[in-house]
Amino acid sequence: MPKQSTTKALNPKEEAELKAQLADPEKRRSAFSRLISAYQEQLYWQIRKLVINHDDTADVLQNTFLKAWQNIGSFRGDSKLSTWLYTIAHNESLTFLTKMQAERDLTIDDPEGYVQEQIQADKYFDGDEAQRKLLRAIATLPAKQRQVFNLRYYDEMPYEEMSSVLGTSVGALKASYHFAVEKITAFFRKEEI
Amino acid sequence: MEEKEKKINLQEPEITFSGTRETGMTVPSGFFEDFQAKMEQAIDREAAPNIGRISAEGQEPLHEVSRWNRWIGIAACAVIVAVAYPLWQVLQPVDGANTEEVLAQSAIELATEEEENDLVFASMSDYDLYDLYCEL
Repeated sequence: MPKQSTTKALNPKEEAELKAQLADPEKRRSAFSRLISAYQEQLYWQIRKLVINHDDTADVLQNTFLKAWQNIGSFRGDSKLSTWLYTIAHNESLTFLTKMQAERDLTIDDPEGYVQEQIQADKYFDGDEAQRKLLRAIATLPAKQRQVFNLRYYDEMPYEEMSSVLGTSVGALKASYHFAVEKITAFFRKEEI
Repeated sequence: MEEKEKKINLQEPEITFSGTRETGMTVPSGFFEDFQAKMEQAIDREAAPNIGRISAEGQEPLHEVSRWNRWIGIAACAVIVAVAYPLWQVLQPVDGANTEEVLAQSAIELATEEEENDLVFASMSDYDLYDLYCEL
């Protein structure tokens, strides 16, 4: 079973070509297939780290691409395709979590119980105890801080790009990541005691 | 003061990573190939031209009525009025009384004088009847 993204990101030349094709109504459909192929894995993992459960992730990923397709006409090409898609995926994930937690009468910033349950129930998890523990620690973070931590820690996304995705200043993102690491460290210390 | 400076320090904390940053999460084999095919179908459904959808295509074109057709319509209305009025007059009662009056009159006429007398005498006691016969 694959664990991480194996597809390579598009190089600047390929990205420029794809953007041009997406802007052309006649080539848009085939270009969008290339877009799905190029970004589905990256987006999947981004969503999965927030939503945890595989089946829910597949649903959110589908909604993300449908939203992208519906709004492709309004994409001006100023930002990178990955940034634009990450933004849609981020919003779709938060919408999904809000909906799930409203159904379960939990708040979005207190999802530990929900995430714990998902980790336990998810059959597509074969990580070791340290990975499970890290996910539990991440689950204690508020939703936006969790996203910052995931993008920085797992995806190693530059702060400048993260700033475009999340609509937050670079300084605020650095502070958010700093506090996230502190909270996770505290969580590990507490677990050790 | 030092404590405060430490808290707002935006330097990225040092983290020692042990190997790759994997989450431990996995996906079913062939998931992405299946997803691509599923997504293609979903997009085609989205892009399909207005099947089962309601869309505003614009205002319906005006139906123009020619002058000739307009006069035919007016003439048809005049004929209907011309036929209806004599028919209404024919159906009116001859003496000018309305329908309720005619019905009331006919109901009274249905009862004969003997029947009316029976009706009057039926409401009288035997004693009163005896008195009446004596007077007669």
